[in-house]
Amino acid sequence: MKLYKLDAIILKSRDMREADKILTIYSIQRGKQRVVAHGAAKPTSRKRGAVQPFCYSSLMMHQGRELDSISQAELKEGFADLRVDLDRLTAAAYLAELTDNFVGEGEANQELFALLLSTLYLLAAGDVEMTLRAFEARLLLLAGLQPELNSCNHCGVPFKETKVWFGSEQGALLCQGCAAQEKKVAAFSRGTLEVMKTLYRFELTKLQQLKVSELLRKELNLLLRAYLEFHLEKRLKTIEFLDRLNKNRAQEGTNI
Amino acid sequence: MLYYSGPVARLVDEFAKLPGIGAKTAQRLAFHILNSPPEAAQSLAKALVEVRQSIKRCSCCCNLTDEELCPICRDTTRNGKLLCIVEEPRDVIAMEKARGFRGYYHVLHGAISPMDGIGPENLTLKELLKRLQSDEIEEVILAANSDVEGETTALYLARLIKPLGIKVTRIAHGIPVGSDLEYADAMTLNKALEGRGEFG
Repeated sequence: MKLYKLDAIILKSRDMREADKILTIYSIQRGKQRVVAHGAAKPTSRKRGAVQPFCYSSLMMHQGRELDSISQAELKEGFADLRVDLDRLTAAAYLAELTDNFVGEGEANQELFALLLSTLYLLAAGDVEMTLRAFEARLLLLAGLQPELNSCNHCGVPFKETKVWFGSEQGALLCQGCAAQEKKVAAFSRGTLEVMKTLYRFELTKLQQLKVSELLRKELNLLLRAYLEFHLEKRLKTIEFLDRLNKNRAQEGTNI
Repeated sequence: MLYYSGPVARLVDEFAKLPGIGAKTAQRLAFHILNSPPEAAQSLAKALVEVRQSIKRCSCCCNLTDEELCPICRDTTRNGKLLCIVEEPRDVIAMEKARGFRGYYHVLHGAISPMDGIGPENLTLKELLKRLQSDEIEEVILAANSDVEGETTALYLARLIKPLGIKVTRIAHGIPVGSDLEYADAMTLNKALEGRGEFG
C-alpha cells in the first residue's frame, strides 16, 4: 500500500456510484490528476468539506489500480467569499474549466499552481473581470504560447496604426496589409494591446490599481478569448453563462 | 459466441443499462425472473410500462405525479405563502419525510452547472416565474443542494426572484445531528456559527 501527500486545488467534481466522487485536482507535486474520493457525498464523510470544487486542501493519497483515492483531506482554504456571489462563483468555474482543458495530466508546474491559487484569492475579493484576464494572459505565457504584441506575426513589421487585426486562421495579430489577405479577421485597438502588456508586467496583487475603460475590457476579453479558442480548438462551456451574467450586469436592474 | 438464447440476452442487456448494475448482476436478475412464476414477470413488466405511461410532471410544481396536480399541490391545508424550491423530486420526498415544512414545493429538475453546459433554460424556471406572478407567495425558500451547482442555482434564483419583491431565504448549513464537532470541516463550522440562534 503506497501513500503520498498532495497540496491540491480541486477543479471539478463528478458523481460516481451512490456516494463517491471523481475529482479533477491540480496539485503542486503532480499537476492535473483524476482521483476518487470515496463516500464524499455522505453527510458523515470527514473529507467532504475539503474536496469541494475550488478548495485548496492538503490530501493524503492512496495509490489505486486505476485512479488513486483520497484517504484523508484537510482544508487549507475554502474561499468562502467565492461561494456567496454568483459572478465570483461562475468566474471560478470558468477558471477551473480553462485550467482543466489547457493542461495535460501529470504535468507538474509550480508556477501555474501559484497562479491558480493567487487567482482564486483575487476572485474571492478583487475585480473579477480583470483577474480572469490576467489569468488567461499568464496561462498562455506559462504554456509557452505568449502572444506577440509588438509586431505583425506575418511580415514582422512593428505595429504603427491605431488598429491591429487578429487572424483566426493564424491565431495571431497582423498588420493592416497582411490582414487584407486573410479571410477571417477581427479588429482590435492598440490600446487593448497596451493593457495586455500591462497585465504581463503588473503583479497580480496590484491588479486593483489598473483602471481600464469598459470598451477596452470588452476588447481585451474578446482578444484573449480568440487566442485561447485558437489553441483549445473549442469554446468552453462556462463562457455562455459567464457572458449572460455580464450582459445582465450591463443592463443593470433588469431581470435575468 | 452466444451464451444465451435471444430473449434472455436481450433481458440481460436491458438490465445492464440500469445504474449500478453490471453484466454479472444483470445476468443474476435475468435468471431470477426466469426462475420466478410467470405472474411475477408480468406484474413487473406491467409496472414498468405503467410508470412510464402515467407519470408526468405536475402542472403546478413540476413534481412527478400520475394526475394533473400532485397530492401536495391539491392539499389546501398547506401554507400558500411559503414556497420551497428543490432540485429533484427525491428532495421533496426527503423534506416531506422530515415533516417540518407545510408549504408548497417547486421542483427544478436539475441544477445550473455552467461547466457541463446546463443553464437556467434547462430547469423549470418558466413555470416557477409564472407561479410567482400569479400565486400569493410571500417567501421563497431555496433548498438546492449545498454543492457548487446547488449554490450557483440558489444565487441565480435569488437574483431572479428578489426584484419581484418576494422574500428569498436559503436553508442553513450546520452540523449534522449526532456528529462530532471535531470532525466538522472548517467551512461547515463557520456557516454553523454564522447561523447560530438564541438558545435556552
